[in-house]
Amino acid sequence: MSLFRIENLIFRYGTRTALDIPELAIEDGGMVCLTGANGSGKSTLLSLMAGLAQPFSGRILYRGQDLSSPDREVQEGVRAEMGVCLQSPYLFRTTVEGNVSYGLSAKGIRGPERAWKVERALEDVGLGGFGSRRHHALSGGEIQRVALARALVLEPRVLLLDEPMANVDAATRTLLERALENSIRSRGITVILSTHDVDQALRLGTRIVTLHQGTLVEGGLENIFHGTVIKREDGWVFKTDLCELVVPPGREDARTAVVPPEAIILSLDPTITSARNVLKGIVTGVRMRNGSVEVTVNAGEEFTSRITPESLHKLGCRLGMEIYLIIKAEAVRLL
Amino acid sequence: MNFILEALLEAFALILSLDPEVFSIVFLSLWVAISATIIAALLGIPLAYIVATKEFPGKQGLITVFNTLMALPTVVVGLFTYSFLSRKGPLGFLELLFTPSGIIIGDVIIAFPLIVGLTIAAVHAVDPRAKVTAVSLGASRRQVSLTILKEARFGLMAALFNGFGRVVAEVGSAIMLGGNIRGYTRTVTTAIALETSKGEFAFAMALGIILLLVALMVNFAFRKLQVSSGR
Repeated sequence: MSLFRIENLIFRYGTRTALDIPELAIEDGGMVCLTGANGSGKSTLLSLMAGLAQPFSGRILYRGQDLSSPDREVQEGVRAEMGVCLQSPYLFRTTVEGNVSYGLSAKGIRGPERAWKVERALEDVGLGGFGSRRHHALSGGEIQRVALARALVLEPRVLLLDEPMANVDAATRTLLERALENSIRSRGITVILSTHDVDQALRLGTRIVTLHQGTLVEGGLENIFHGTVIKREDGWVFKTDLCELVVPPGREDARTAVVPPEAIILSLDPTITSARNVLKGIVTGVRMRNGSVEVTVNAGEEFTSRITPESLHKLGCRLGMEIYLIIKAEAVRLL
Repeated sequence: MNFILEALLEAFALILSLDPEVFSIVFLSLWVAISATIIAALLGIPLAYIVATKEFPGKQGLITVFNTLMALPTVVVGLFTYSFLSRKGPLGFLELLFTPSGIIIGDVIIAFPLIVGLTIAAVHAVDPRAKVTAVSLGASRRQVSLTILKEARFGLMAALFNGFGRVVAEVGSAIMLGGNIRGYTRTVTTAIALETSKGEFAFAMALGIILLLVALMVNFAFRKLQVSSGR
């Protein structure tokens, strides 16, 4: 059973559709990075996954349980497994210790156990000894770390973090990244983190989910091209400065095309195929990633294809060799 | 001018001599005002929280009514409450007219809209992220409510001190419902009104000075709480 399963999710702010995700499954373990530009819907998706907002339609299942369930026990049970850290965290008007211990107190944990847990959580985020500081005597980065400690102290199974490192310096970012990686390793939690920092997503993410104007961009950050759609006699073409792709008809206004890496077939010769796109290119990179092989091919634009190690072996792929990319027109997604 | 100075000197002499009548009047005033403020707060704060946090038809109209009632003339409260508590009134059998409890009832009615109105404003002023944060940290509904009220504590204190300030200084309702009976229902304000009309300026002045001191102390206490609440 998936940790999260999103089905036909739509969320609107007034008449503007902020999120439209037909399907998304997130499995247990590791760090899932939600990337995308500002306003792409990352924060909204995290709020919905945390059960802090209700979808306009569709549903989000957490371990098979509907987050929109009116059953208070279900809601409380799910919430008890989640730690949430908002993009612009709110600190209660008390001390750092009072903030970090809030969730523990709500659970009825008191005395030395609470004090010990609070201190350990503060040390994890590099704020050991900060317990007695008042909420207003903290910098932006410290507020973010207190909020992270406040979520970590509850030892959640899932940690939902909205841009947790937006206001911190490089040294603190490294410290927080290590703290998160330690939590994943030692406590086996799943971290779902939104970031607009692509490098961070690539560095930390065991999986990257990219959002663009509220919709999922399959295949993460690869194969996103900018250009225009042109209607020709023989069909519709998406044209960039460096290459052309035959695309499904109907989206004349699209300015972005995305090709999922799994949808690109690599071939040594342009075999007779029903696919409309056959591009000749040169292999520029081969690397292993989470058990599959990512092959980058320059065919005007840089394409990434994801294949199995067996396919790699069969093709005898090596840097600099010529190869053909075969892509069905229907596999090109226009945004 | 001499006459005012003489009255002032005599007033201080009365205060310093710990005149039992002066202090019994002050004690009754404080007792009545504190009791009324506590009762109005116990009734008003939960109501204000519900009004501030729930959506229902007529909500804005209700808030406007409370805001209007904040300036309710105390004599009007006295008049209406008198009609209920008088022997012929529906609550006459309780025999509360011309008793300290009668004054407290009037003062509760005066303080209640003030506390409700200011508490609604204080709860509205709490950052909406406070609720989301409390919920995300696993707080129950009751814990969320208490957290929001705690975050609004500065505004709540302002509501309580304002409520207390209004009832300790009001005279219209206290005189109508208490009857200004010496040693029983005579409060500082009713005594000042009476003593001034009798020409006992020194006694009235002594009570006036004490009332001002009480107001000053309340404000000091408020300021101190404000600082210690971490604002």
